[in-house]
Amino acid sequence: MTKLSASEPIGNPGKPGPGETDSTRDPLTVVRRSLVRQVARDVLVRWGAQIGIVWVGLLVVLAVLAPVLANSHPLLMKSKDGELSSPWVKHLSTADCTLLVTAVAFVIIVLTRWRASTKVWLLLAVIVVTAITSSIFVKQRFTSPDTYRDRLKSGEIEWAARAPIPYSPDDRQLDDPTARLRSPAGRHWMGTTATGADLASNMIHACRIALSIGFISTGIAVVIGVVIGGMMGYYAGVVDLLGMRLVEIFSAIPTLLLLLCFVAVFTPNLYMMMAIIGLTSWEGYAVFTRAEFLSLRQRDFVQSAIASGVPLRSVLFRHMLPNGITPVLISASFGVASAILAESTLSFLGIGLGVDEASWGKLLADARSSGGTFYWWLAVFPGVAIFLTVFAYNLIGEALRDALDPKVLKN
Amino acid sequence: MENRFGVKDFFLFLFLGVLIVMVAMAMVQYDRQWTQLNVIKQELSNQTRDLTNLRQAMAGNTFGQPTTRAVGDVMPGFTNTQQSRLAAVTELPGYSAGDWMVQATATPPPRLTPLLDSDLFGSRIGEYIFDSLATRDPETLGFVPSVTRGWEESADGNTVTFFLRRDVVFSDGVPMTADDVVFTFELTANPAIEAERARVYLQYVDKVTKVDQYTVRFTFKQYYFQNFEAVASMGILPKHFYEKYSPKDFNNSVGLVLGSGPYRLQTPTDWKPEPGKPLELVRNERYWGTRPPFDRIIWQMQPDPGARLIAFKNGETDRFGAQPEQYKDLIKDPNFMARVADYKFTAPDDGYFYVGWYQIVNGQKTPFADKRVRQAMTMLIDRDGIVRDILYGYGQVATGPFHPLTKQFDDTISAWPYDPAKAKALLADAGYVDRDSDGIVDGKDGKPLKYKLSYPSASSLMERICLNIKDTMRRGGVLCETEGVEWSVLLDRIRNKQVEAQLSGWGGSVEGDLYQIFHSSGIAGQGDNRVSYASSELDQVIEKARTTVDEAERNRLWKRSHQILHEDQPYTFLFYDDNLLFVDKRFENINTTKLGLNASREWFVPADKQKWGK
Amino acid sequence: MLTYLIRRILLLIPTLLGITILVFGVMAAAPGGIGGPLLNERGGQVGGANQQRIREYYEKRYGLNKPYAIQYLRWLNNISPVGFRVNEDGSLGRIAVKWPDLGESITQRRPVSDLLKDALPVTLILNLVSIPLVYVIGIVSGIIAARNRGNAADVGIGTSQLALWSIPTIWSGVLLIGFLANREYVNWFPTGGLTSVGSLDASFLPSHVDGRWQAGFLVDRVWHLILPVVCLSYGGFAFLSKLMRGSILDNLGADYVRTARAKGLNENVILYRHVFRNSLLSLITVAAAILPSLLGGSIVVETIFGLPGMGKLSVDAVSLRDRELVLGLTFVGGLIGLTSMVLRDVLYAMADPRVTYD
Repeated sequence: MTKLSASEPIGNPGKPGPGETDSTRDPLTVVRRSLVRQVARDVLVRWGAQIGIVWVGLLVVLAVLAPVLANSHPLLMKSKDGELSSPWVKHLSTADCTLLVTAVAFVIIVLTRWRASTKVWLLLAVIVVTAITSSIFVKQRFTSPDTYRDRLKSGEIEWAARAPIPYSPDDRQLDDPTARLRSPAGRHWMGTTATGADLASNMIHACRIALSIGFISTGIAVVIGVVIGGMMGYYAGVVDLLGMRLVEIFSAIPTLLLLLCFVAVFTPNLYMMMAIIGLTSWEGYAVFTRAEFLSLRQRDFVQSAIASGVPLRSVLFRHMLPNGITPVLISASFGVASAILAESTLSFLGIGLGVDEASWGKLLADARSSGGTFYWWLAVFPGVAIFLTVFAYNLIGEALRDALDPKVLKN
Repeated sequence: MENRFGVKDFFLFLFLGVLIVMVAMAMVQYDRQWTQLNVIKQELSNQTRDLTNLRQAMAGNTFGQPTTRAVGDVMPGFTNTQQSRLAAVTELPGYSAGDWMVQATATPPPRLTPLLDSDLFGSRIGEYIFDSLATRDPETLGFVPSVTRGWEESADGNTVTFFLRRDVVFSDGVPMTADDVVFTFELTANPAIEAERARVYLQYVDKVTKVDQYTVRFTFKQYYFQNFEAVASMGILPKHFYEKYSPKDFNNSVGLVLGSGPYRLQTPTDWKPEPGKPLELVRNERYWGTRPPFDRIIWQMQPDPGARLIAFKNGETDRFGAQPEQYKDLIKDPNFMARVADYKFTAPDDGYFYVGWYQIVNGQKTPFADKRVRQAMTMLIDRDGIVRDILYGYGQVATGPFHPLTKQFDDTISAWPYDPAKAKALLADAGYVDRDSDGIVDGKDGKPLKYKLSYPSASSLMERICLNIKDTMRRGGVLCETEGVEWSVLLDRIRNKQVEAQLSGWGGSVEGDLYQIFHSSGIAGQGDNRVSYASSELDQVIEKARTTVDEAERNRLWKRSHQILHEDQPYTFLFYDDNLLFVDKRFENINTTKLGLNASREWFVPADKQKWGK
Repeated sequence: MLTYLIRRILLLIPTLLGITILVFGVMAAAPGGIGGPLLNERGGQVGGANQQRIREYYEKRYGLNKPYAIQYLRWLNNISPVGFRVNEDGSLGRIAVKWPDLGESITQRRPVSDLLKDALPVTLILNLVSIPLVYVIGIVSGIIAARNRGNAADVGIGTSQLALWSIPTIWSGVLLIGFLANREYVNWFPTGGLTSVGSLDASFLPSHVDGRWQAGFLVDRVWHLILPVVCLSYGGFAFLSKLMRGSILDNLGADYVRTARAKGLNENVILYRHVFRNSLLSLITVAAAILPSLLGGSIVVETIFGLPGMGKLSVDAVSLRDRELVLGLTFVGGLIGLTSMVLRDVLYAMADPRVTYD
């Protein structure tokens, strides 16, 4: 965002895609399979990628387990009349349920020995089914989180097994007015925020926003970019000329300024934010795809596919795309990093998500807001989280580039 | 092209670049001193002219006027307490003129030209630079003459005749006459001037006529009890100065400021906003009244609130308006308090914060149309808690639209308590009970009771209040979602009645009028009855109060309206917040009046403590 | 080359039009009309009927009561150097060559061009200081990395710069102010702003006045600029250094280097007299492309440090929904971005004789 994007295509016309041969044989089936394996191996041996993947994996675990790790509602409690209950289950939202079920399904599916495509389809099916069923059947309960503390004190609850961080992100501790802006100590590992909520709890729940913003908005950008870039590259001529103007429009205005305009106009919620970030960052992918397609369409295997009457969709997406996707993949990894950065910057500037959605950028903005005092814990913890996440994605991107870019291999 | 670019050349270019930047900066700084020289030159020529006038006056033996003249020169039945208070200050022990008053503000105002200025800053500066026909006395709260000797009001209140003083001069030495008053009105009323905001206050003025050189008569289209205030508080602009400018030039101007007040801009035409450059007012040495003590009044520009506090702590500025959370920390700091004095005050024209419950949204009745629900909502808001925890105790819970310092306020009313149990009982009474045991009460149709509370997004104070309300609502089984909305968008939605509940504030006045906000005629039209609250009893009381001349009877009616609003709770009136101010201890004679703190031109610094400008 | 240049410049026109349509469309879709501040009187709300009157007046004044298409065409006409003159009463006059008019900021009620004139120098000075810094550090570290290719120094430089690049400006800015400009820790720098009290009236260079040393305007300005410049520049090294490293390695593998080595030239001479110059070419072409991204970077830095430049102006304009100001800013920003893109291509063609555009 604020810096030069290392993935910017400056004076760097399309590189030949790796793993291709100049034969008339469609390299699709043979090459792609082995290429994926080889790339995965190449990437995974690099320590940068390992660190990055470990950190992102940790975030995923935190995001999925957030309701178990940080929750005001006890995991298990026994009331005075000897009744056992698990309040946290009743207070799960639709998104919580979907995430938990999907995560369990993911682990099971990965452990099976089915074909990769089967696994992907199955996982998608599980996500869709649980999302639909839980949005219909899950009825979230609403209880003021401080009631448990009151009832424990009054003896109404005999004992309770609390989450490791016994505070929900929206538990602003109405029962304790002194809880605001406490530095890290005791039960508040990372201190509290200006509203009296626990910082650690907010940090954990904010992982979800960071991850989902990163993946989904980059996904949107990649799809738009590949479609537009593919059209430009395949049709060339007038389509290319018009498409390039569109690309120029979006790349001439500083991305952050464009984002600011969009976000100010459409009152942002999480989904809107993803769409907006995706809509304003597709142009790099379009340029890469265009360059690849421009060179690919001259290749014999594409020409022969066209000649043999393969439908256009198939030519574009089954024959050309897999061979031209490499640079897009590399820059998508950097794109995830800059999407996360964009979200936290907007939230920091106070034009991002609403007050109630925990976001690292928003937490960071509170570090210095009220009258000159500096609350270091509000600056250090969210800042470190943003930095490590962005760094992790950049490391992965770097490793991908090293593994895939033939120019680097040559050196 | 021979390609000879090497490391040495690289550093050469770098050096050249730095040099160019420095030269450019030096030129800018040099320019600044040049303009300052111009100001000094102009000042000098002004003073020469003054000196000439003085010589002539001495030759003509008209020299030496009594200093108390400014106080005494009024018609029988009037007292110019503004001037007599100022004159009294000069008699105080230790009084000395001199020193500057330095304060800090975020950014320079975009423009200072009167009528066109749009922010709070304009009115603050206008107080120093312009005089009005009458001012409010800070003790009696009635109007007293300023640049007038007095006035006559016709029996029906439809004409007011002002008699101007003969000794008032503008800061360039030209005397003020009835022509200037007429001109000020005509300029404001001219549709070519972009002063629509000033215009709406004078909309009932029919015409302004010059009776003679020092008498001017205002005729109103219809009687309205705030007509007098509207014309009396108009800042008088000098005709000879402003008439030079065409409406277009005037509209495009940034800093055309010339008045008859105690202070003036150093140059009346040249000011323009410049980032970082302080705004300076200097004493108007030709001021017709009692000379104000400070030589200069300065606003430093510092966009960062933290830096403003640091500048005040370092003694770079003399006064600092604090936020509650800053105030509570600062008054505990002995080093800090050794140097400054703290002032906590309220004024009858302080505004109140409220939550408005919209009874009609998109043409549909909401749960808030039921009085019991509104009362329950009020009892679900912990107002004492908000004042205690968010304002740190610097405020008081409001029970109605009138400030406790006004005569309209009924002190027998006690605020609704924070009582979730009672609120739940009231909600159950109104048909809202938790039917599906999800913790949220549901209406008879099974829909949960939930609403969206909107607030202007720029305010972090309102954000915190909203979150507090949201949490206490959840305790009572009501789902409240909060939404910060940019102010103009919020106004748009309010206009279209698309808001469910709204946190906001209304400004106050010494004697307020409820017609605009609570009379049922304001629902359909362009009135401010945003929440669509209709009470025939309240309507009658308001209508009667507005036409009642007898003050005691009128206030009895206002108190009755206070009771009705308390019972009906169309708004939950939240609180009045205190004004919190720190001032350097070298300033003396700062005291509270019934209008808040006394005007800063009544303050002074004893000679031995003076700090700036020696 | 010339035909290419003309073609490029002609193609700028539809792109610029596209930019204005995009931004205008977004801003027109925004609710709120003339913006809140105009409807406030002395910091408070104006009551109902009066508010309506004021709203109508200003909507008419700024032409917001017209259909969007007309508003857009009118705005386009105003910014176009060739177009209809607009008469005093708003009607259109004759077609003429005129000075582009960016309109008037609705919230500040001053011409947009005036506001830009005030804000541009601040952003320029920030960038004029940071660009050379970024280049020097980027180039030097790139050379070091290339010379130590593959060993610890190379990896260390690469990784640490990637890390620097990943540090969000919002974080570094808050930390720098919080720890280095804070009485509770060390108070070495000002918390924000561009000048301290009284420095505008001081002499340019440090001087000795009344037996005391006065820092003077230059030192004061530099003192205020240090933290913002650090924030603006630290992330840029990574990109340039990587580019420099790659470029040097490319050149080292080129035939002329092999020839030079065969001639027995000293390795240092080869690196600094031959390879360095050729490697710089790619960096020079990049220089033009940096411009638009720096404006983006200024947005965050200027907001954190309270510097009244283009970035802060944009944030304020957007958050107050000052339509004219946002339009003006994006138009100028887009113009700068586009020009630098063309410049980049032209420079690239000039610097590298292998590239031709025909």
